[in-house]
Amino acid sequence: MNQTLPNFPLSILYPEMILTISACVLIFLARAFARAHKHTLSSIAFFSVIAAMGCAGSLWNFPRWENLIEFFLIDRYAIFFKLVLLVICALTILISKRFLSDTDTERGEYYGLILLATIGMMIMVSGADLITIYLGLETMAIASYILAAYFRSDERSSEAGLKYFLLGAFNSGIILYGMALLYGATGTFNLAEMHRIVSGLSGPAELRLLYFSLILLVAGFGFKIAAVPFHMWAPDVYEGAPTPVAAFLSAGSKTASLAVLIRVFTVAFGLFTELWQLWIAYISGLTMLFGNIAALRQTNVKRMLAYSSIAHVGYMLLGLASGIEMGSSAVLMYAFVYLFANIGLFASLILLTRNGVPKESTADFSGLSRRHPLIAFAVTIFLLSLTGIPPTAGFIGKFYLFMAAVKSGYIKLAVVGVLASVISLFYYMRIVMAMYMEKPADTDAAALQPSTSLGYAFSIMVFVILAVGIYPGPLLDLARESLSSIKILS
Amino acid sequence: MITFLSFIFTLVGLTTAILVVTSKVPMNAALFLVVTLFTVAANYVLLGAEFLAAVQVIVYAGAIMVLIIFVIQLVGFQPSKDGSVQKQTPIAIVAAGLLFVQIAFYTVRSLTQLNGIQKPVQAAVDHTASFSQTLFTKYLLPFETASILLLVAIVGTVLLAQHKGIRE
Amino acid sequence: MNLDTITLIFGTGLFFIGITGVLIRRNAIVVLMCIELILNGVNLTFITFSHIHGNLAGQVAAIFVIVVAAAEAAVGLAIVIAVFRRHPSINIDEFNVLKW
Repeated sequence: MNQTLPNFPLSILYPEMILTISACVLIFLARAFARAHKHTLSSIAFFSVIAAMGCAGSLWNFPRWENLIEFFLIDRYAIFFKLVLLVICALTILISKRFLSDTDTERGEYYGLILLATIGMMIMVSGADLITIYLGLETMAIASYILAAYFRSDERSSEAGLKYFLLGAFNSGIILYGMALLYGATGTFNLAEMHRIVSGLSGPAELRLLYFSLILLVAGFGFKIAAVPFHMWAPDVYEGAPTPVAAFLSAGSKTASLAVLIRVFTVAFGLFTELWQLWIAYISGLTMLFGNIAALRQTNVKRMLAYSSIAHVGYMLLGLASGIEMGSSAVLMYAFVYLFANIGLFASLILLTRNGVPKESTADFSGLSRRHPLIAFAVTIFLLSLTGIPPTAGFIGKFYLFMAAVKSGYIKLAVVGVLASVISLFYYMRIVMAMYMEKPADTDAAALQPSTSLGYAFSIMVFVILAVGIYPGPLLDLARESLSSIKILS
Repeated sequence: MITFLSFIFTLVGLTTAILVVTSKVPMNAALFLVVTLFTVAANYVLLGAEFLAAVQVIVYAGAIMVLIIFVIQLVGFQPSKDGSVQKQTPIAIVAAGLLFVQIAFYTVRSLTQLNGIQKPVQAAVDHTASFSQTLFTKYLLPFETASILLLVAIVGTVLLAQHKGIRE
Repeated sequence: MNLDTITLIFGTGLFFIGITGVLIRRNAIVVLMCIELILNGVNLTFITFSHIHGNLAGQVAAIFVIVVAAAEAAVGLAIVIAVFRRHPSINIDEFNVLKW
């Protein structure tokens, strides 16, 4: 037989391998050592993620190996998203510890599943092949279903898990059928090869097949990133899932799916660019408006965050609609900027939770400035960043997104985006008002002590948001460089 | 002859698939699903994918269906009430039917063009051998990913289905 | 009508019957079975196209789909059992803690 094992340096897989080993250690050793070494669990997880980050970062200047390994790409685009996903994973681990020990559910399996889900995401963003992408996607999805249902004794959690599972599995079927039609039209799974074949296709029936597969993939990935009208699952799942898991899902699984969406659409559907950009533009407008208006009505902050995360996907899609050049690099940047503020707010919900009793209404934030001024300051920074007010990173992100939209002619859409941001100001500021203007609902101020890991998480997030907000240059260059590597391919 | 066989299997398969969706008792649906899975496996054989047909029978019709039937028994029979079908039923059926006709029409139409470029299947010698060659060389990384996926599933199933609650 | 046409129609049919089932049925286990129908429809499509194009990639995809389906079924049924321990009923519409 003439087929041989592809010859490639193993170092390109080090980040995934480190996480896999660490996940196995966490899952199997944790069982053996029972509860005695609980505090070490999160440290093992955290430091392995840091090590993986180092390995992934060191691949930045790696030569492209796409000829050798047809199914796994190590380009800057993939590495950028890997680093973003690892940051999300690390922050999730930091904010989980307190929540889990409060409810006495800290277990090796939890951290193991978070790491395994991250591996799935990382494989997804590196996938150069629809099969690789599909398997990464499913690894992430199945781990997410389990994590959402992690609190089996909590009614909301297992129900969220069931809903997420049924809708998610249904949705994977749709994505898969889209992939099957794509394979039918081109005869290959490799994205680069697909790009070549698609540009040569001329038969109307084959183009029709591609068209159907595009519809199915837009719907499928639209579901994964929770864009309107495929968002129905998100509020329920985020509200029901344990808070750190909700943070992880709303940041991680969306970022990874968005990365894949950009890669698949720009590379495989290059021929249809104008068509899908138009669809994405409509979806983006709907998502921005609906997400923000629905968030306005929520009193439960966790549910409000779910709708606000839907709205933020709308902003990112706006960038995607306005073209590969400027728009998509703005999307990359916004995805990075958004995760800090988003996880930050979920972290503040964790901080307010006491002994496993959720404190999720706006009223629970009242008087936070008096109970813990630093935390109140941090939450204010997160909210400002989500609204997009300088000098926070959110402003820079939105600025580039809207500018890209205007430059590519989507002026109406940019106006919708700005309007949507104004709407979002109302519900974000409601929390700020509660924190600074109102008296504490309960005077039990002593209980509000962030644990060490939560404290670190808060300071990292605030630092990054302010640093990027004041000095965005390096991040912008990074995003541009990452995106240029995807263009070589196409 | 092959076409005729395939036609028969397709007819049986689609009928039982409709029965899966319409039968009121979950156990009946499961049994109809087993028949559908077998007809799909038969079509795999006709298409020259013997190995996959075997996997389909062993894993799908065997393992997965046993699991499903086991869970149906565990949670008890639940003959659905009239309310078990949702309000939007007619719309869903009509929409799905229309889409089916469209996609089926165009996929079949595209076949006439694709048939022109048809090549003989690579491995006239030994199909399963060349299949595994492809699986373990070109698709080695997805294969490894699948093992991670199975690890996730094992850990998750143990975690969720074990008797003692997580909050002991 | 040749073999490929028939199996392609079979695959497409299974896919849409499955979709209709997911949309109209409420029992969690029946929905899971409808998802299996969808995956089978997809697999048949993969293998038919693999037959047409004469390469094995479609078959490789199909075997991965079977692996994923097995994992999904195991996890899904575990979640169903976890929910069932709390609720005596597993009809989806009877959950109203969160709005469906």
